[in-house]
Amino acid sequence: MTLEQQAIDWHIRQRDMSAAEWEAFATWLEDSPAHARAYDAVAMADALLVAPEPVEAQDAAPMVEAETVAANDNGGRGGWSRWWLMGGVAAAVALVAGPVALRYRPDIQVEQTRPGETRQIALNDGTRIELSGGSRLRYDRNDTRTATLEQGQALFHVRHDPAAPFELKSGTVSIRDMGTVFDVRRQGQRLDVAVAEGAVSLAPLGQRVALTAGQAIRLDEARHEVSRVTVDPAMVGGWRNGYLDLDGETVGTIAARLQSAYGMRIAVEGPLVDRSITGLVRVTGDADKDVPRLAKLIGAGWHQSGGTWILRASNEDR
Amino acid sequence: MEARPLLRRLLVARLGSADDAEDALQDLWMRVADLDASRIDQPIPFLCRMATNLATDRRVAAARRGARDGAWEEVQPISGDYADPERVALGRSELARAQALIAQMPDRMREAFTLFRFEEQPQRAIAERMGITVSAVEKLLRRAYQFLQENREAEGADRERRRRHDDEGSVGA
Repeated sequence: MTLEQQAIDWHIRQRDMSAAEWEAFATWLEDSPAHARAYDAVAMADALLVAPEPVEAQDAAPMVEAETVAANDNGGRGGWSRWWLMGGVAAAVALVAGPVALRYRPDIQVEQTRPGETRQIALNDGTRIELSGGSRLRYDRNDTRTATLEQGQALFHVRHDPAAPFELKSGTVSIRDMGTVFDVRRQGQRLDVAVAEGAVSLAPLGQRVALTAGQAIRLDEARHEVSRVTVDPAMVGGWRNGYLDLDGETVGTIAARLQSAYGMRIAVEGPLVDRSITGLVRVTGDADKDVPRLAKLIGAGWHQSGGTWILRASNEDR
Repeated sequence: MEARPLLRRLLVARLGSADDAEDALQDLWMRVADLDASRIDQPIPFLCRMATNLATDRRVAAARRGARDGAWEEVQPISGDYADPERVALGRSELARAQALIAQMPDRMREAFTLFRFEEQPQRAIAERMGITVSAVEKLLRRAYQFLQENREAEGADRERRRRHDDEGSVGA
């Protein structure tokens, strides 16, 4: 095997490697600078790939589900946009199945906020996106009808265009607007979507779901669970005013949210980490105020060590 | 944390500098703190993957800056076998080129590669979906990555036009 082939092998296997195999990989990298260089070439080329873009509607039409109407109608932005927005994951496969004609060159923009930072993004089609702290959003300046929330939380005020619905992707889930203000939060394998106005449709785990104002969905990809919940539409996007809407979230998850959104470093000790909390908490962003109040609310004790707040159930022995 | 020495080794090997590795490690811990640890089955492999992805991001960022500040170049002897990292410091137009490359793959290869890379399907699932064996999937993936490398190099070295591996579409069960 050439070095390149070895590097490719390591790269492909990476998702399933055990700790021992990772040790072996480290050793292989260390064996020779040429190894590290070969691996670097493979990994960098891979990192720069982006998902294939939509193809001509005519090519794709046979793959389209019955629900997709007028895929061949070249009105609007050229037909494919409607088609592209229909099928989510299935479409992504269909996209690359036919002959491909690239329609345009993407101009990829990544917006990333630090913990505690929020950002307003105005797309040139009139859509507004408010990005919470510790979030990462990717979009294409040359096609602002689609965006990807890689992590964190954002509120989308979408300017609706029936000929070209806005589509937000996160992980394997695509959320399609039908004239909408909606909020999306991605934290690891968990995805929460809540609608304040209008409606969205999405197909998590292969189930097609429509959400209207006051409805939300919680998806846990690790457990393959989807649940629908009712929310107060006025509270959707409440994070902008410091409201933390907790729906059975564990204290560990809440701590991670606070870290991501506000940069608060909170460690949770003992079984408290798995305790579920439901309620609405107001956060100022000032940890000196927020952490003690949160601790009181959930019946926990707190102390500080370095820059880290430590929470533990108050009835536990130290 | 028990994984720390291994993560450090990976980062040093990837980044070619102990300082950069330490910096990346800090970055990694910051990100890990955002995660719900109880949801992670295999913490060490998970962290290793995060570390190596982080290293790749940094390499790409360094190449994009056009800087040789990774110290990597000083540490690594220049080898004629591999394209200079700067060559893959893709501009935006080159993203389109990367897409075009994927589009040029033979159908089966592209299908397997897309499922693997963009939908992050496990090889087993891809095998089921395509009705082939896992080792056939692996073969397609290897060739797909090789295809990307060859065409990337061909571009730079001007020695060969992009090749289509039409024969490889037929790798079967």
